[in-house]
Formats: sequence, C-alpha cells, structure tokens
Amino acid sequence: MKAISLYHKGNHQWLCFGRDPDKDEKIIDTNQYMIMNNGQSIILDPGGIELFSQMLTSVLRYTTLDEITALFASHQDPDIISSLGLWDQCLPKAKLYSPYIWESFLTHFGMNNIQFHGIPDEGSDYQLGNAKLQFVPAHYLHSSGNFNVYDKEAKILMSGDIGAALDEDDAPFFVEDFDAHIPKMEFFHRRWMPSNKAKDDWIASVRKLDIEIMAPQHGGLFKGEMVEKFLNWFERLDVGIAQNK
Amino acid sequence: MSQENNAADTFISVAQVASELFKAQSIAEELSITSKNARALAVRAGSTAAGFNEITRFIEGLSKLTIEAARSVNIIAISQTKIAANLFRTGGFLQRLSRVDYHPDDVQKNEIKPIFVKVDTNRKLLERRISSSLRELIERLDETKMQLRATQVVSVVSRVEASRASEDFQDSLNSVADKVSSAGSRINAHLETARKHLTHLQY
Repeated sequence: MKAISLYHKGNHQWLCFGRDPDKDEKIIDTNQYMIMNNGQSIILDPGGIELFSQMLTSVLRYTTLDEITALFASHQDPDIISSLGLWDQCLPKAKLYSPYIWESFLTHFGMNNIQFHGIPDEGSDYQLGNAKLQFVPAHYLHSSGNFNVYDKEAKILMSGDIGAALDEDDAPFFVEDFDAHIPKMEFFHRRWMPSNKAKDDWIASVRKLDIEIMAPQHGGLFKGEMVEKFLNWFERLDVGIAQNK
Repeated sequence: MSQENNAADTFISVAQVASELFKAQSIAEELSITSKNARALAVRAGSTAAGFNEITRFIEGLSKLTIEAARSVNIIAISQTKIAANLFRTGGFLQRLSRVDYHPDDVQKNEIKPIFVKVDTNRKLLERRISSSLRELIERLDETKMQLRATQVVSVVSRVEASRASEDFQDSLNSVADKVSSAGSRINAHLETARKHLTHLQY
C-alpha cells in the first residue's frame, strides 16, 4: 500500500494510504487517512476487512498502536469500517467516532473493546493532541448519517464519498485534469447521492471553509483550484437519479 | 491463550516487525548516500585513500543487503499478517458455529458438521502456514543480523584507512566511519526489536 504525506508541520501530519498494488481487483480501491499530532493519531475511514493487513503494516511505519487513540468512520459502509473487528483486537483503548445513528449497526462488525462515541447530527469538534478537528455534517451524501473531517490548520477536508471516483489502481494521488476526471465520478454521484437539497446545503457549508485539499475516500484528491472546480461541478449536477448511467 | 487471541497477537506482532524493518530500510538508504559521498571523497583524497575506495564498495553492499532484507521481510510480514487475520476470522467463525443450538436428532446438525470440518481443516492449514512463515521470518532476521556484524569491522578498517590518508581528508573520512558505525548500530537495534516482537509467538 502506498502512502503520501498531505501536510506536515511540526508535530502535525496528515497521511494518505491507498493505491495498493496487491489488492484483489474485485475490491474497490479506497483512500485511508491518518492524522498525527503530538503523540496521538486518528485513522479516518480505516477501510474494509480485506485491506486490514496492509493498513496495519502501513500505519505502524509512522506511529505506534498506543498512539492510535481513535478511529473515525464517516458512515457505516463495509469499505469504510468492516475492519473494525480486527482493529478492535489491536486498539483496545481506542475510541470510534461515527454518526450516532450507526452504533447498533457498526457493532455487527465486532466491537468488544473499542468504545463508541456517537457524533450528534449537528457535528462536533474533536481534539487530537494540540489540533482541533471538526466533524462536519454531510448527511445523505450518501449515507443518511454521514460526516466529513475538517482540519483548519492543514486546510484539509476529508470528504468521505463526496468527490469519490473510480480511478485506475495506479492513478496519481491528485486529480490533474478535472474534465478527464468527471466521467470517473459522475455516475457514482448521480446514483449514490439521494438528495439535491442535502447536496446544496453541504456545498454552502463547505464554501465557508478554507480548503486547500479535499480528500475523498475513493480516487484522486482535489488540490488548490480543483476544489472549487469540484464544488462548481457538483452544484450543477442533478443527483438522486437511478436510470441515468 | 485462545486461538483467536493468538492470531490477533500474530498480526499485531508481525506488522510491528514490518514497521521496524521499514525504519531499518530508511537508515540503509542513508548509508547508501554516505557510501556514495565517501567514494567521491576517496577519489578527491587520491592515492593515500585508495583503500578507502574499496571500503565504500563494501558499505554499498551492506546497504543493499539491508534494503533487500527489509523488502523481503516486508513481503513475508504482509502475507503473514493476512494469514493471521484470516485465522482470526476462521477461529471466530468456528467459535460461533460451535454455539449453534441444535434440536436432538436435527438434520441441521448433519448439514453443519461438514462445514465445521472443512473450516477447521482450513484453520489447521493456516496455522501450519503461519508456523512455517514465522520460521522463515525469524531466519531472515537472524541472517541479516549476522551479515550486518560486518559494519563494525568496516567502521574499524575505515578508521585505519582514514589515518593513512592525507591530513586534509582525515576528519571527513573518520566521519564516514562514524556514520557507518552508527547506521549499523541503529539497523541492528531495529532488527533486535523486530526479533523481540516474535519471541512470544507460538504455533
């Protein structure tokens, strides 16, 4: 599994893990993120059970198990958090932050040791070492209980499935040609995102944030002007349509 | 210790081994740069440092050896972690299957038994694979550790060669010897830690 640093200043670092060359081709490629600050780490959308071994090996290159104090699951999908039962064996003192509505569903993945912390619908702040992160509501995009993570210092928005694309396994980590990227994400957004109203509310809320990198859970990341290009494209897109491939 | 806990312990320990070797690999990459710089230095120092030039080839060899060892250990470790994670899931499945409550003389019992036998056979196979892979991992670590003992010899010989070079270059050449010695010790420490992660695992 490849790893790149998205931001590193002092003791504050963002890493992105993905583009695993050894992944089974039937499994959708996912981006996993880890934020580290002053001896504490949080893994964002740690991934599916089939990627667990590669993820564990990769994160331990940068941190220790004791320092991984929390996991974050933007929503309940298997590619996001079906590895929970295995992380539960490694991180008995960690906490899982996820939309409160999913607690009794996520427990099906196995959660005997990790402590669940439900994020309220309106979102909340999270303190990681000296860094303050925000859980930003993104409900119905696509899951009915869904959050992004925003880091004001790093200017990074981890956007979960928003901005997700079905990229090639060896594609670059960052989107380089926005127009060429549209076909890789259009069907997914139209089909998976059920509500234009939810989409418009989310766009209005994230436009208030200072974002340098928008980091989705699948496919290329948006950097600099690509972020605005994505928001403009998403604003024009009619979502919640099943028959329009 | 239950089979499930043992498997969980294995995937954690082996991932930690891979992490230690990743750190060792970074040091070996530094060592490779040191070796290239030392070669350039030996060329500038001329005939008085001719012996040093030969040593740099040896340093480069040690660096390559560590990088290759780290890569191969990483491959073994990822495969081992996958097997252990599978074993953990298989163990969990068998445990849950054994809790299924049957009615007396129920046909279900006859249907489920072959599944249990099949998965249990797979569990034993996974255990054997883990056991052989663990041995391979331990052998590879020990072998690399043995080969890296040469770094201390290289460091001493480097100092001898540095003392023969012209005075202008002696400090720089001694600094190379220090770097080789330090890199060797740090790589060794990571290998030691890696080895310790495996000592308690039993299959």
